[in-house]
Amino acid sequence: MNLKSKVLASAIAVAGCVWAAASATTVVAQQRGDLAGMARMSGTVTSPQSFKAAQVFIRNVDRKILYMVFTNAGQFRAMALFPGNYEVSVKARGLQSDVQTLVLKAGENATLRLAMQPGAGIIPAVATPFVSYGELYPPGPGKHVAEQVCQTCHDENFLPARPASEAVWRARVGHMAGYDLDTRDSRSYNEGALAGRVQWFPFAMKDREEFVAYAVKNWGPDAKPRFVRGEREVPLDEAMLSKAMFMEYYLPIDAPGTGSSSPEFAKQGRGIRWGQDVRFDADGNVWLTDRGYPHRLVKLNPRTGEQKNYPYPDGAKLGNHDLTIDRSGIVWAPEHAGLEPENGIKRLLGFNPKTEQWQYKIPADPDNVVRNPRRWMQSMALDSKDNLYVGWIMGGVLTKLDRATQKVKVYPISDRGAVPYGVIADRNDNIWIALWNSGKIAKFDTVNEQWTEFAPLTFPAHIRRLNVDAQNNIWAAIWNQGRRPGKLAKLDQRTGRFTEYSVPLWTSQPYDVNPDPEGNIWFADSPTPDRVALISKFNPRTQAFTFYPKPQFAADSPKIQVTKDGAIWFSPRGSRNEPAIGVLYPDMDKITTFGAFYQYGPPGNPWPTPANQTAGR
Amino acid sequence: MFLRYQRTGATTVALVILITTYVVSGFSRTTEVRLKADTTYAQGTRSVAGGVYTTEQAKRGRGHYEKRCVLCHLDRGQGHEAMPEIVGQSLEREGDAEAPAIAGEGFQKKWGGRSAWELFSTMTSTMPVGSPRSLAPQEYADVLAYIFELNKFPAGSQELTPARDQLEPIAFGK
Repeated sequence: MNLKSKVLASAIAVAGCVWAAASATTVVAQQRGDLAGMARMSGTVTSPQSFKAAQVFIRNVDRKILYMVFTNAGQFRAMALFPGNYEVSVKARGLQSDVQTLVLKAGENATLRLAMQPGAGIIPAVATPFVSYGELYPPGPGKHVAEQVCQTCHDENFLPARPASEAVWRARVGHMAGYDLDTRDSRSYNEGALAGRVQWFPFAMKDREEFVAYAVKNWGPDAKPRFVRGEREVPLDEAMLSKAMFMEYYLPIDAPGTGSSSPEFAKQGRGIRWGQDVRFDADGNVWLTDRGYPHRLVKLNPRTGEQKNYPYPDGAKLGNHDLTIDRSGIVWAPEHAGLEPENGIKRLLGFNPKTEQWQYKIPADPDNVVRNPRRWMQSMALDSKDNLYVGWIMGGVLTKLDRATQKVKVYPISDRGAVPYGVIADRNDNIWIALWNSGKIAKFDTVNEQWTEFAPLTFPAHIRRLNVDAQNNIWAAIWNQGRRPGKLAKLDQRTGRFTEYSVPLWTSQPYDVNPDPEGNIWFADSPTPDRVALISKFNPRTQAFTFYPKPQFAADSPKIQVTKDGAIWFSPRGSRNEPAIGVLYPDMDKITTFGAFYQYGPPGNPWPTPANQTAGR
Repeated sequence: MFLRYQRTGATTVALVILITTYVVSGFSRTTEVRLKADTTYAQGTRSVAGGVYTTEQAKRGRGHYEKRCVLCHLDRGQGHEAMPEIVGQSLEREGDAEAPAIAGEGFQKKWGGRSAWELFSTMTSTMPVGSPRSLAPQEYADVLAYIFELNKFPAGSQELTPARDQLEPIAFGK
């Protein structure tokens, strides 16, 4: 055999192995475990215009489950489809198809042909006109305040979408500066948020006067609301996207006059179901906090689509937000902003799935450390002993529930005007908190009860959520920076050094961050009126970003959770009509179960839970 | 102190007259008067159109209004419908919720014939949203004076006070 023949033979052998491996993967994925009996679908999408990564919506109308996949060179495929009745359509930018209906039987592999025509497409129509950034933000005194102060937290559409008179603009500035707080308690954690930041921001009196004049001139009472037209499209990797599959399990909408549309609750929470936070239990179920009124915990069995609702206690209206699940299976859900209780007492609620009862209702600030009568708990973390730490977003303190003694202790957070947002525990049982007020990250040493603050390179900034990877690095998402990019910040605990990575998006608003078992950092990115909501991946080794447009263009997702198989779970919180529990499978061929399992079980740390329940200090 | 005593005394006399009038005229008559409230008032009741606040008080009220109310009700009391939801922005934004008009024909029709006390009580128990009763009673009375001014009711020579016995006989409407 000459060299040429050897090369040819080798190539054939390699190709054969690749084909065999791919086939085996597909066969295994089709037949393994609880995916046995599922159907598949593939097809072709045509259009009179070129398109990229069109989104194919595959709705199981019986189970109220959506699958969404992307095209690659006009081809698509989807798998693990529950048998039943389906509606299928496809959309791209400025293009859409009619809806086709079909019935899928167990094990069936259907083939479809979908034709797109010019239409509304993927971007929802809005009456508000889009104009260029420069038109909405022309040069002039006061522009620097809009860009360097307001846009640190608000996106670039916030101000021009709300034209108003000088009196209203002054009141808005007063709201942020806390003009009123000499005579009353603040109503929310954002009121007076700039009072303590004037030393960092251009927000002196001269700046404020210039801003009001600038706002009245450009977004005054006679102006129409306008949005900024995005100047760059989301970079899409069609080959990567064609492997991915989204699913959304819709929350049933309450019948008219009941639940969220009942006379008692129709005007609360905008009268909708409102998914917030997702977590997994040890059995592969997904739990969700529904922040609509009445508040509910939702338990989803993703293997069947079955959902069960558990109303919160005492009227289901006293506020909810996050949840976490401890090693014994208790679902913890502290009270947040709701209809405020008469006595002002907020509680740590613990739900026992075995008895289906709210087993714990623990007053979380028994000594009234928080002085403002309005007080809201939000995020939680569990240390290695299942001690529970809860941040008070309205209150500026951290509550510890000692599980051995069942005693509560409250720690004021060191930062001035602290607004604790995300709370996580590292593998040394330190508690880390994203400080919404300053853009810093606070570390609480739970042994010495000592605080340390860290400021990322981008400061002042706006950080909502953070997380920890398997190497004990702290990751945080730096929220919208206006025309400056959103960023991911990594704090190496060994060196104390921050590294930041800019997200290559127009108006990136990274929210929650979460590592997967391969060390990638996943994050949710909030949408703008002309830029889709995203689940995104950052590979720290290659520093490459991959963006996955979500099925619901306009629905942000504040929290994400990652399974041991690399599936990313979320709730499309901003959804008005299709509240849901969602999941992104970045590689559908690797799906072996719809069950959602943490790599090391609840509470979801990227390291093994200590068998003897002792801290690994 | 003397002035305060004088005012209290005058109020007591007015109250006695009001109660006597009520008893003498009978319940059915009062009900009938209420039904015609936009044009006719019970004896002892006076219209806000008769000048029940002062210009100076309305000016103070405007100051409170521009700090505490204008964010939602806007600067001429015109209010606004709920802001349309904007993609990517929170559903909870303060000032984006619907705020009813507190000046103009619709407002006057809604409140026509009802007492200034009823309006004052509604304001203090519900406004500002999220922190009711967070102004001092006299500050609420000042804001009420400004609302009367926004609705083009004329000023008079006496200030509104937050006292029920003074506000209850004042009927809203021309």
